[in-house]
Amino acid sequence: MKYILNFIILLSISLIISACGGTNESSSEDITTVYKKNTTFRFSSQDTVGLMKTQNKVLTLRAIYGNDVNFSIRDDNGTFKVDSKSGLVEFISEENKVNGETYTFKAIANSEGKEISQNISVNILEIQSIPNDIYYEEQWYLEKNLDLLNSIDDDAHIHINDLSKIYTGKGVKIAVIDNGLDTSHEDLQKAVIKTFDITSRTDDVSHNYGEYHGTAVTGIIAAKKNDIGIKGVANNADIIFLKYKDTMSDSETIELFNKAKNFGASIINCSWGTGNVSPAVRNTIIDLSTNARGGKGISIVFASGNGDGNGTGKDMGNDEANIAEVISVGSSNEENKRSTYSDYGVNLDILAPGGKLNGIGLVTLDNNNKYTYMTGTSAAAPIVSGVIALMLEKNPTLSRIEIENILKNNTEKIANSNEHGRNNKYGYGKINLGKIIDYLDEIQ
Amino acid sequence: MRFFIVIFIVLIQQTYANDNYYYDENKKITLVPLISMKRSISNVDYYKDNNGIVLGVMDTLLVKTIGNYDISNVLNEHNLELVKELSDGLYVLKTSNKNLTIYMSNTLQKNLNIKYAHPNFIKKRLNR
Repeated sequence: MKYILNFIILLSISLIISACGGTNESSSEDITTVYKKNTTFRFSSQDTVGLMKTQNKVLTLRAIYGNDVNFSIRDDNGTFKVDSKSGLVEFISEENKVNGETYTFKAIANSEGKEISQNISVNILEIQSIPNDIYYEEQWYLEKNLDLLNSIDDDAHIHINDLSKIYTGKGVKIAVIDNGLDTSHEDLQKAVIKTFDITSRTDDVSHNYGEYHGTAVTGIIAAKKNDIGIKGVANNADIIFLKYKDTMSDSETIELFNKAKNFGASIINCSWGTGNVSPAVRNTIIDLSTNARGGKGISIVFASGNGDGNGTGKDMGNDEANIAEVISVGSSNEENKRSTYSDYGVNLDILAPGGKLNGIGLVTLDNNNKYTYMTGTSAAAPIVSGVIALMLEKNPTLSRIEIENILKNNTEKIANSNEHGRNNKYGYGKINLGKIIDYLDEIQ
Repeated sequence: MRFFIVIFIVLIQQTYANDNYYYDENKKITLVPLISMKRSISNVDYYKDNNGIVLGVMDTLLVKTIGNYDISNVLNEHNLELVKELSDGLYVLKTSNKNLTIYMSNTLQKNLNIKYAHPNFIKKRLNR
């Protein structure tokens, strides 16, 4: 179902919150507000800044209470449940009802088991419709929205949450080296700023029959946030698409990497590999990731590979993904475990959702304005590229080494990850955007 | 006279141009020729490495020089042609015959002014 995009009603209405309670512990506050379904709220209070949204019958609230408390609440069946990162704040629904287009609730805030004492005064200044990309609810890798099969782990996603309202990759250039692109796809409008095809040596990177891979990878990174399709991880980033040949020489490979640098890319996504990287290609990758971008280095992201063809991961060997200076990405799945097919090795850095064999897969773009599901480390790598774009949007001065360290040190330890470091099959663990942004907030 | 010298060099090179290995910097990598593909009239010879990865060899090689070493020294000495400079000190060179490419790469690898030299391999990219 499509919702009206960018419908913004500025309200001068002060909706209210009756806050009983003054400043003492154990006092309680009833908070009553009325809002329309499918809306986003921005609060005016300095003490309470938050976002609310509904997705069908799902209500999510994320707010900063006071200066430093993050909390979120999800209501998917009419009663509030706490989904708080810190556990500090809880809202308890006392009343839930839907009156036509309005929805009313009361809430009491608690802190560490005690009722919080601040008065909460919330004035809703703005109500706007949520851009509701029609397949967004199926993007389990970004956020758990819909689970018809009840098979998606609550934490299988990258914890993008409402950070996608703040960070979109704006101003960051990501090069995608892949096999062809539907540049006129409805969900990529204005996303692609530069193109080059190594075969024709022109800017025509259009896809031939069977070349859906480039469009799918690009969609995961940069599909637009609008009323159609899906939402890319970095949906406002600038894409440089460089079309390769399936069978290509080392010198042509180097030319494409050099093109990415010359077009100003800060990130290069490579959802492919050869299994045998030559010295010239290896040294080019090392040079770009060390010295390009004015000495800050380009983040070059490679998919680790999808195993031996029988669903079992193998060592990356002499693959591009096994270069130490590359950000090497393996796959996690809907169960929030490592995908069994995901290739591994001493230089594997991180996992990101790529889905499991015969699983749901990641919904993304297909050629000719279609949509499809993609499974594999090819799908995991662009998630990491997108996250790096959000990091660079927040802090453009980060070097490739700093980016890599932040990624590694702010992972989610899943399944058999090494709690205190890394191992060859999980790298440092699964990517977690929430942790990364929190860390960047801390060091700023 | 010069013509005959060049012919002589080429004949000598052809004689020894049967290396079935190349250097990944200083590590020797064995190549197994794919006979059926080698006999084709293609301008590419195909080999497999130890991991079964198929590598195509054409008549071009990649050479990275050290410091400001003048690549023309190599061109003259080995009857090679400069195709292009990819980046600082990284060159695509052309041999007179694809059968010389591996041999010439291995020869240049031993040159102290060269960081690495190897055939300009053709490889299949595997989408993941």
